[in-house]
Amino acid sequence: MANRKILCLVGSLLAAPLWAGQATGKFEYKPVNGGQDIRVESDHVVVSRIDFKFETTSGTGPIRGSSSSVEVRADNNGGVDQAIGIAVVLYDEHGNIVGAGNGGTHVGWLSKGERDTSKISMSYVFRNLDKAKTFVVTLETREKPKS
Amino acid sequence: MRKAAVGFVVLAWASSMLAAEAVTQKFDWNPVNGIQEVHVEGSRVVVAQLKFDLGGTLSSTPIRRSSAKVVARVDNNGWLDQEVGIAVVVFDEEGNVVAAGSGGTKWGYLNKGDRDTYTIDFPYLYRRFDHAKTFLVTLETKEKAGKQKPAPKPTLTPSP
Repeated sequence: MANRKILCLVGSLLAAPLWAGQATGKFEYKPVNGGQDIRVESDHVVVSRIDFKFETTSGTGPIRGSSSSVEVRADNNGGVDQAIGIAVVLYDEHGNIVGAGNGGTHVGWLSKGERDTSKISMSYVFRNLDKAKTFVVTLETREKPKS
Repeated sequence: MRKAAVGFVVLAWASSMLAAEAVTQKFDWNPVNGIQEVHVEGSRVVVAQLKFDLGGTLSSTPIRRSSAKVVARVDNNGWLDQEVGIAVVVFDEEGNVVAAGSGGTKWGYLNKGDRDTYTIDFPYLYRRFDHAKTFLVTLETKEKAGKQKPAPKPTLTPSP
């Protein structure tokens, strides 16, 4: 009986990381009017659109940060609330990173059936964003635990 | 005279474009107590050390943010003040991103001869940070523009 309990405990510990789903997609950088339709799906959550808002200059005066960002739209088409995390990394033709950042759920959950957008800032590595050729999107999902 | 002026403008534009430099290097994930020595150099500015923190979340609260981050130590070994930008992207063995972000100079410059640290936060994509296998570091630098000398005042020649 004790062995069964230990096995059950070990099983649940091993199962815990499986709650977090993950998917990665690589795309050519081909926005139209700043936006591009893509598809990266994990646990019925889909990153379906990305809008690029790039500035290759820093702020005014002594401010060095840029207001460059991407806005990512995520749809929860599943039947379970999810916490999501999204990373976007842009590369030039030589494989150098020209922009990178992460965004996702701040508070609570992306409720089942809901759609939301996340803004991902690219404030500090931005000076070569106009040389972007490809980008990678990784989507992380984690189901709301059943209470 | 007009050609010379056009040439000067083109030269000034080209030199301003050349002033921004970017270098990217890939490393195996091998930190000791969270710290890994690296060497990514551009314009005599060096990213010399990264201190990774896998962070944590406030469980049993609705806040989903993590405190995961990396602190990059940067040395300006050159003779010019520089703007600095650093991107760190961490991958698992299948090439999925497990952490990504950028940091750098917020205000002013990293002065010549100075050392500074820049924190890059990974608040939203962190759940598989412990699967890290490799990482990329990109260093972007842009030197401080030289001071423009004021044009010399015209010399008055006595009228005959």
